[in-house]
Amino acid sequence: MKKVKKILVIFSVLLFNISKAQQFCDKVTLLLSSSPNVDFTFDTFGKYLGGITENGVSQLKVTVDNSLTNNPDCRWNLVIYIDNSSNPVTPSDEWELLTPHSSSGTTPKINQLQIRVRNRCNTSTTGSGFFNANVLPGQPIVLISNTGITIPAGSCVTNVNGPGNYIKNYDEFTFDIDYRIAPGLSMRSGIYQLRLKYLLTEAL
Amino acid sequence: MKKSILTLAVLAGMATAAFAQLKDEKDVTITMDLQPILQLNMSTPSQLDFVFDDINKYYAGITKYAATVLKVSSTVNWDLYAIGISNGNVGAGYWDQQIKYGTGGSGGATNKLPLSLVELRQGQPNNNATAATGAFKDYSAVFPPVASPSGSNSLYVDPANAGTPPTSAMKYIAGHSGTTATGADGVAGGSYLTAGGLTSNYYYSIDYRILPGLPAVFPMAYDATGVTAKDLVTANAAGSYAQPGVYTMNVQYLLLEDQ
Repeated sequence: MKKVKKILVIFSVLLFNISKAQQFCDKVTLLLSSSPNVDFTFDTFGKYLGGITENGVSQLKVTVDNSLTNNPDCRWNLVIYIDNSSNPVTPSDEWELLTPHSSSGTTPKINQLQIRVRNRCNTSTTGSGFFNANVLPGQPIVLISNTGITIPAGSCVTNVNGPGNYIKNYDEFTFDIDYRIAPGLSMRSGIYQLRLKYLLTEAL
Repeated sequence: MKKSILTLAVLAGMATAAFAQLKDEKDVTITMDLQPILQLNMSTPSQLDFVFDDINKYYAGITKYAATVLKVSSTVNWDLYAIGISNGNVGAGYWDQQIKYGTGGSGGATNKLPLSLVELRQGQPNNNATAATGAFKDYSAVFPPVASPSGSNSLYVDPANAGTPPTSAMKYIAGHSGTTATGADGVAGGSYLTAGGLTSNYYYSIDYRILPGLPAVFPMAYDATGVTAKDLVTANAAGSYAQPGVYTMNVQYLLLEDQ
């Protein structure tokens, strides 16, 4: 009995230590300093063929703090998840159809949404240009990845992931997001919706 | 023993709760409103005059080549057809007589000229009409010779003058009656701006011909299917001919979502 108790205590201490080892940062905060709604209205042929670009309509501000623990392994990830699933009949690779205007044409695919993530230091791993949101719901688009190596604030290079904040290091901890859609003329008319979930996490 | 396990569970729970991974999340909702657009551009004059003042014009008719150019842009599947209409001041399905010359001729002269005496010829055939069931699916045939009257090019006219679209047995310029499939009876969304070329399914040049014949019985007038002759003799009586005068009518081009 005594032996069992001893094992339990050792196990609990180990578990405690493992859990404790997973916390490297004191606080992570993601601020969306823009409207949470972005509307694209295609009502002319020019817009259908040329597309619509909405520049800087979403702005994300990141704060990652380790001033209390001062742990050098404090790092962070920033990813986007795309969700189309409020309607269960929506295929996983398509926009969610809210209201059809027509019966003909094809439903737009998620990857027709183009995204560009900008800041002055080009810290996003997605580069400085537009890319197609070529993912399914549940799959992340990685903006800042966990490479296991801390790239400190102030480096002004790709994938800065050390602690810092948008006040001291604006060009690395602020992200301007642009969106672009060029539907062409084969899409089914209607109102469609997607939800973009920006997720900031401590890197473990 | 039980107490120890409980203690362990509480400890584990506390540890997990206290040191969960830090995260924050913000959501952006993107709404895309794809509004349906149907656009028919006609880049040519809206008034066409046919003046028959020479005997050869009566015999051979007057043809106006590419008098109308139709350019389509659409974000939805579509059909395009032409229909002859008038105010009906002479009767439903007939040209409007604005004035008659002199006494209007002797016995047999009639002012009931069928709207279908107008012939059309489209430059580009209707490539999206495999579901058509009639003798003529479109207006792409060459104008028939004077000696061999045919309804291949006679303008569609709603017999009831109610503007009803043609059926599957009648003529469409592009697409056709029904919604079985794109290509079978509808043209896919697109635009002459991007389809390119003079032979695209979004660009049609229309020729017009009016052939009175002599006597002026308009032998190319047919019913809506293009099968039954509607020339003045067949439609009225032997000896009928067109009363001299000024007549007007409209050719209306309708672009509509595939139906």
